[in-house]
Amino acid sequence: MTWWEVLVQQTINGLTRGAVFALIALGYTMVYGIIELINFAHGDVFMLGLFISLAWFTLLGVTTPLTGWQLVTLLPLVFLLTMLTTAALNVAIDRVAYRPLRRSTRLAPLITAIGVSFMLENAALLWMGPAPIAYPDVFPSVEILREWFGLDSAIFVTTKDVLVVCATVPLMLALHYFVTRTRWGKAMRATAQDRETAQAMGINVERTILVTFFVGGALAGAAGLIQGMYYNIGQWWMGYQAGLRAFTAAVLGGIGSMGGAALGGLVIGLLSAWSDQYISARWTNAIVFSILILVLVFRPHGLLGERAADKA
Amino acid sequence: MRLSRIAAVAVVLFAVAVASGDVAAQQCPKGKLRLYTSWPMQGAMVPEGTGMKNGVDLAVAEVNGVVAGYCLEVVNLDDASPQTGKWDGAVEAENANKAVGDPLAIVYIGTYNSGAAKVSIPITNRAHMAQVTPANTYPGLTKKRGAAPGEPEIYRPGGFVNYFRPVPADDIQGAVGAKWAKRLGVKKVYILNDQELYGKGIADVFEATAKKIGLPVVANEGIDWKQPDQKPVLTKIRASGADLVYLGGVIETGAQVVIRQMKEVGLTAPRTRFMGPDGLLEEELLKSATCDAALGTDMRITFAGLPFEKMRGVGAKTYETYKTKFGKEPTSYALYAAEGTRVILDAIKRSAPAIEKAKDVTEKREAVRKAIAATKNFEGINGKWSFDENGDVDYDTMSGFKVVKAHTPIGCTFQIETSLA
Amino acid sequence: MGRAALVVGLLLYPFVDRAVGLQTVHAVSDGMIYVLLALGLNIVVGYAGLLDLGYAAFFAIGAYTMGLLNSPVLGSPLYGHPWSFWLCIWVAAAVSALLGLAIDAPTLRVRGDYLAIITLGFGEIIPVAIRNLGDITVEIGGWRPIERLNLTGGENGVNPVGRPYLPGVPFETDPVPWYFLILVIGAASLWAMNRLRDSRLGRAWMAIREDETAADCTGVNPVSTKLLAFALGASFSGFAGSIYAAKLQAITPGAFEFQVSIMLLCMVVLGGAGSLKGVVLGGMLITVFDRIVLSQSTFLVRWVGRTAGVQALASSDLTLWRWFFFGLGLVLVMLLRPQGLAGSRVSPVAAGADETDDPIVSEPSPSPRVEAVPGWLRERMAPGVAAPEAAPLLDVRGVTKRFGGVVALNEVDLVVPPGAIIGLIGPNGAGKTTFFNVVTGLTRPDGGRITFEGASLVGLRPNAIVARGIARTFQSIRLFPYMTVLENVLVGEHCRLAATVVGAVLRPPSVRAEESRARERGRALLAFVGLGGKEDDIARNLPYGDQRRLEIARALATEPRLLLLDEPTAGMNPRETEILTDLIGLLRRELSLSVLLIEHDMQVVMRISDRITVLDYGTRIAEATPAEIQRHPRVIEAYLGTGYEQELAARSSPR
Repeated sequence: MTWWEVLVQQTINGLTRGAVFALIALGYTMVYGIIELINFAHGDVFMLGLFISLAWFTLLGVTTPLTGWQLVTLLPLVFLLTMLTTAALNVAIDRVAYRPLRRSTRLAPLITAIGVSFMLENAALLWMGPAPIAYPDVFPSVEILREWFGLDSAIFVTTKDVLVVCATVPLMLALHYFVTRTRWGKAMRATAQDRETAQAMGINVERTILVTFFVGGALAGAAGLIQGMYYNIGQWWMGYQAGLRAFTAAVLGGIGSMGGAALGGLVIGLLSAWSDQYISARWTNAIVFSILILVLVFRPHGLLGERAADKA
Repeated sequence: MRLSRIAAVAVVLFAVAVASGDVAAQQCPKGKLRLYTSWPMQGAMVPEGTGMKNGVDLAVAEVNGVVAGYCLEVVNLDDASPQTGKWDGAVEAENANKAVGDPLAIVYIGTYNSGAAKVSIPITNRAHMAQVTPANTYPGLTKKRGAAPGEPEIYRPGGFVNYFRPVPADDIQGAVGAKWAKRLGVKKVYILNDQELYGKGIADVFEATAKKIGLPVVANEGIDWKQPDQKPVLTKIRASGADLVYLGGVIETGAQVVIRQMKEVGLTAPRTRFMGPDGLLEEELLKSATCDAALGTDMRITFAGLPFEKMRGVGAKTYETYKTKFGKEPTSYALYAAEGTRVILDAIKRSAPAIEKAKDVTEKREAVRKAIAATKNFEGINGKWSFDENGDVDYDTMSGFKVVKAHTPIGCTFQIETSLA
Repeated sequence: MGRAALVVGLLLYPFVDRAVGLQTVHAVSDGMIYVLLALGLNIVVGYAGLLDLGYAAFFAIGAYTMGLLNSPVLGSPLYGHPWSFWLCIWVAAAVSALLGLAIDAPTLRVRGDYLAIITLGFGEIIPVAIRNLGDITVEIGGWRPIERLNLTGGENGVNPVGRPYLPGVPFETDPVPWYFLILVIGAASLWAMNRLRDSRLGRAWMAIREDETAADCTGVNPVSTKLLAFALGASFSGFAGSIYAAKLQAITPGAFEFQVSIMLLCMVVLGGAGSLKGVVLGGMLITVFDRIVLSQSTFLVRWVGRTAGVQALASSDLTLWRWFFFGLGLVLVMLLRPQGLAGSRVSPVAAGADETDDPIVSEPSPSPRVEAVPGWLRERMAPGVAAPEAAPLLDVRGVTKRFGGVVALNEVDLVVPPGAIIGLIGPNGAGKTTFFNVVTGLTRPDGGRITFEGASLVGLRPNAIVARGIARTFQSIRLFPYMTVLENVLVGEHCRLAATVVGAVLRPPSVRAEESRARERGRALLAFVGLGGKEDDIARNLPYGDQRRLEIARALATEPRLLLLDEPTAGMNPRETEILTDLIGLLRRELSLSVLLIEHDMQVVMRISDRITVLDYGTRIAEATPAEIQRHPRVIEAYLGTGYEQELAARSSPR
C-alpha cells in the first residue's frame, strides 16, 4: 500500500467508526440538553439495542445475508422494531429512575443512572452469557471498488461501510428535521433552553422529556443494530465503553448541540484511527482524551457548543 | 455502629448456614482440614470460576471427602470486587489472610489471574502454606525466564518454594510459537498484545525468540481490546506487509474482533496468517469470530499440554467423569483444578504421619508443603510429571493446532497439527 | 456519651473480631481506605460542587509514588533506594496535590460538566500512561537514547512495596496494625476536614458550589478556591493510595480504572455529598456490605430456602445477580433519599415559601436605627470620609460594550463622588445591568476607562474588584441558597479574612480570634439589616424581602466603599420599600458609603439620589439632579415613548 492509500483507508475506517459514536452521542446530548443529566445508562441501552435487534432477526428467521427484496422489507422492519423496543426501554428507565428525582440535586439522578447501568449490564450478561456473541452476517458484504467497478485498488470499501453512512446520515437528517421543524422538536428545544418559561408557555414539559427519551432510545437502538451488522460482535459490557466514547464525543462537540455530537463522533473516530496508524494503538486512548482536554481548554464549551449566557 | 451490627448478624447467619449445610455425618477420626480456593466468581467469570470449583469438587468427591482419616472441607472465596469490577488485589489479600488465619486451613488453591497471585503468594509463603494454582501461567511467579527483575524471589519472603503450578508456564509456549512460525515459512511477523499480564508476557517471549532465531518482527503493539473495531491497526499491519499476525491474548480480550476483521481488511492466507497462544484455544472463539474468518486466516494456536479430547489414561477418564458429573464440557482450567487438588490430596496422604506429629498448624502446613514439593512421577492428565525446584511441572508437552472445517454446529474446529517442543 | 462509645467500639473492634473469629478486619481496613478516598473526593464534589469522574487517577498517583519510591527491587533508575514509608506517605500526598494542581490549573476556565469530562479524561490517561511507561523506547533516526526503559513496571505493576517500620509493631499480614494505622490517619483526616468545612475556606468552597458568579462578586476567587479543592482532595487520595500500596504489597494499573472513580462517586453521593458522616457511611456500606453480606447472600438465601422448604430459593445462585442487586440498591437509595443517607443539609422548601407576596406574613421589620449600625463597620469606613468634592470615587469614561451587532453601552460616562447616592435609570434593555457587570468585572468592556480611587479596574476579575471596595447585589437575588444566613454573610467577609489551609486546620489563636470576630461582625450586621435571630436559617427558606436584605448585608460584609444595588426594592411592598430606602440613606449618612442604584421605583430614586444618570439604548441621555431629570425632555420622551405607565404597572408586581 502506498502512503496515500493508507491514509484514505484509515480515513474510511475512522469515518465509519465515528458514525457509530455519533449516533450514540446524539442520545447523550439530547438527554443532557433537556434535563442536564449525564445518562450513564445510555450506553447500555445501545448495547441492549444490539442484542434486541439480534433477537428480532432470530425471531424473523434471518441468519444469512439478506437478499435484494429482504433488504428493503425485513431490514427496515427490524430497524423499526428495535428502535421501538429500545425507545420504550429508555422511556421506562426515565419514568422509574429519573423522573422522581427531577427536583432534587443533580448528583442523585447521576447515581441512579449508574445503578440502572449496572442492572442493564447484569441483565444482558444473564441473557446472552459472558462470551462475545457472534452477530450473523445479515448484511451482504461486497467489495465495491473491486467487484462493482473492477478497480484493483489496495483500498477496501465494502457495502457495509456504505451501510453505516447510509443508515446514519438519514437518521441524523430525520432527527434534525424533527428537532427544528416539528412541534415536539420545538417544544424540546424550548424546554432545553428554559424549562420554567417553556412550562409557562403551555408546553407539557414532562411529555417533552418523555419524547426526548423516546427519540434518544430509538437512536441508541438503531446504533446498536448498525454496530451489530457492521462489526458482527456484541458483548454485555460493551455499552460502558461505547458510552464513554460517545459521551466524550458529545462533550467534544459541545454537549446539548446535535451538530456538535455528530461532529464530535466523527472527530474522535478519525483521531483514533489515525493515532492507531501513525502513533501507536496503545497510546490512542491517551491521545484522544488529551485532544479532548486541549479543545476544552481553548474552547470551554466544545467545538460547536454555545456559551450559555450567564444569567446575572 | 449499626452497620457493624448488621454485618455481625449477617456473618453469624452465614456461619449457621455453612454449619447446617455442609457437615454431613462422616467419620473423621483425625478431625477436619480445610482447602481454600480463591478466584473471581462473579460477572463474566462465573463459568470459568464454576468450572474450576467443579474441578476441585470432583477431586474431593473421588476420595469421598476423606483423606488419611481427615475430613476435607472446601471453602470457596471470590477475589473480585465491585470497586474494580474484576479481580481485586485487596480482596485477594484478604482471602489469603483469611485462609492463613484459619487454624483448620491446610492449603490455598488459587488464583486464576497471575496478578492476583502476586499478592497472595507472599502471604501464604509467610505462613508456610502451600498454594496451588489451576491457571496462573505468568512465568515470573516461579522462574527467571520471562520475569521482571527481582522475580520470583520477591514472592518467597521465607526463602522456600510454596507455590506450585500443575500447568506449564508461558515462557515455553511463546518460544515454541516463534519457532513454529519460522518452520511454517513466515517471513515477517506483526505481534499484537492485549496489554494484560498474560498476553503481553507471552507476546514479549515470542518477540524475543523470533529476533533470536532470525524472524523479523515489525512491532509488538498493545491494542485497546475494549474497542469493537480494530480495523485501523489491521490496516497498518496490511501496509507493513507482515505475513503473520501473532496475538498475545485470551478470548475475553477481543481476539474475535481481530480475527474477524482481518478478513475484512484483506489479511487472509496466503497473504497473511494468524497465530495465537492457548488462551485462544476455545471453541467459543470460533463461534463468535466465525469459521469463515478463522479458516480464511489459516489460524494456528499453540497449546501447553494436551487438549481434553486428546488426553489418554487419567486425562481421558477425568474428562469423561467431569462431563457425566456436571453435565457440560469442562472449562479451560477445570481439569487443572482437579489435577491440582489431586496433587494436594496425594501429598496429604503421604504426609499424614508428619501432620499428626506436628505441634502447631504451621508445622502441619509445612509438612504438606514439603510433600507437595516432593511430588514425583505423578500420574497426571497430560501423562507422568514431577515438580521441579521452582514448583513448575517438568513436562513441556506442546501441541500445535490448526483450524479445519468440521461437521459440527459451529462448522469448524481445532485439529492437532503437530507436536511441538 | 455516644462519641465515647464509638471510640471505644472502634478501638475494641479488632480484638472482638479476633476473639469471635469473624476475620472481618481486612475488609473493614480496606473499606476505610476507600472511605479516606471518598472523603478526599467529597472536598471536590460535596464541598466545592465540582463533578469529578476521574478521581481514581489521584489514587493511582498516590499508590505509584509510594510504590516507586519505596520498592526495594525493580529495574529502573528510580529503584534501589527504598525510602521510609513515613516519608513516602507525605511525598505521595504532595505529589498527588501537585499533580492535582498541574492537571486542573489550565482547565479551570472550563465549567460544570465540561470540567467533569476533563477529569474523566485524566482518569483515562493516567492508567494508560502507567501501563505504557513500563516500556519506553525513544528512537531518533536510528539512535536510541532510551531503549525499553521500565519506569512504572507496565502491566506487571510494582511489587513488593516497602512496609512501614515502627518499633514493636509488625506491619505484616496481620491486619490489626494496619487497621489502627488507617484509623489514625482516617480520624486525623476527618478532624481536619471538619475544621476545614467550618472555616473561611470551607465556606468559600460551598459558595462556589452554590453560585460561582455570585461568589466571585462577593470576593471569593473561584480559580484559587477550586484549585485548592482539587489539590487538597488529591492529597487525601495520596495518603489513601500510599497506604493501599503498602498494605497490598503489589499494585497494577488495572486497579485504578474508571470503575473505581465511579464507585467512589457512588460512595460520596449515596451517603450524602458534603456530609462527612454520610461519606463515611456510604463508603463503609458499599465496601463492607458487598464483601461481607452480598458475597454470602447465596448461602443465606439457600439456607432460608432450605429452612422454609422453598426449592427455588434453596438452589438459587445469587452470584449471577450480584451487579443487578448492587445497581438496584443504588437506585432505591437515591429514590428514597435523594439527598443521600445522611445528607440533611438540603432541607425541604419551607411551607411559607409561597407566601412571600403576602405582606402580612413577613413580620414588619423595624426601621433601621442609627445606633444599630455596627461599630466595626463604622470604624472601617471612617477613613473613607473625605472632602465631598475631592477626586471622584468611581470614574467611568466612554465605556462601550457590544454584544455581536448590538451596542449595549455606547461611550457611557458616569462619576460617583465619595459619599454620594447616584441613581441609574432607563427603560428596560437600556444597558443598566450591563453597566453594573462592566464595573464589577463580570463583563469586559470593549473600550473606555474605569477608575476607582484613582486605579483602573479594567481587566480585573470580579473578586479583585470586590477586594478594592466595590460590592454589588443582583437584580434576581443570588444568595447561596443552601447555606445559612450567617454563612452567607461570612462569605462576604471572606476577602477581609486571612486564614490559610494550615491555619484553618490547626486553628492557632490568631485564626480563632479572627473567626469569632468575623461571626460577631456578621451577627451585628444581620441585626442591623433586621435579620437578627435568623442567623441559622437556610437562606432559601427566607421570605423574599429578607432575602433582599440578606443580599445587602452580604455586600456590606465585604466592607465596600461603593455599593452597587440592582433594583433593590423590586418585588417589595411599600412598607418594605420604605424601610430599605431608609437603610440606604442611613448607610450614606453614617458610613459615608457611596451608592450606585438601579431602580424602577421612581419615588425611591427621586427621594434618595443626589444625581441621576439616564440610559437609553446604551447611551447616556441625561445626567442631572432628580428635579432636573423629571423635567428633562429626552427622558420624558424615552419613558413615555416606550410606555412609561405600562412599565410602571408591570414593575409594581413582583419579579
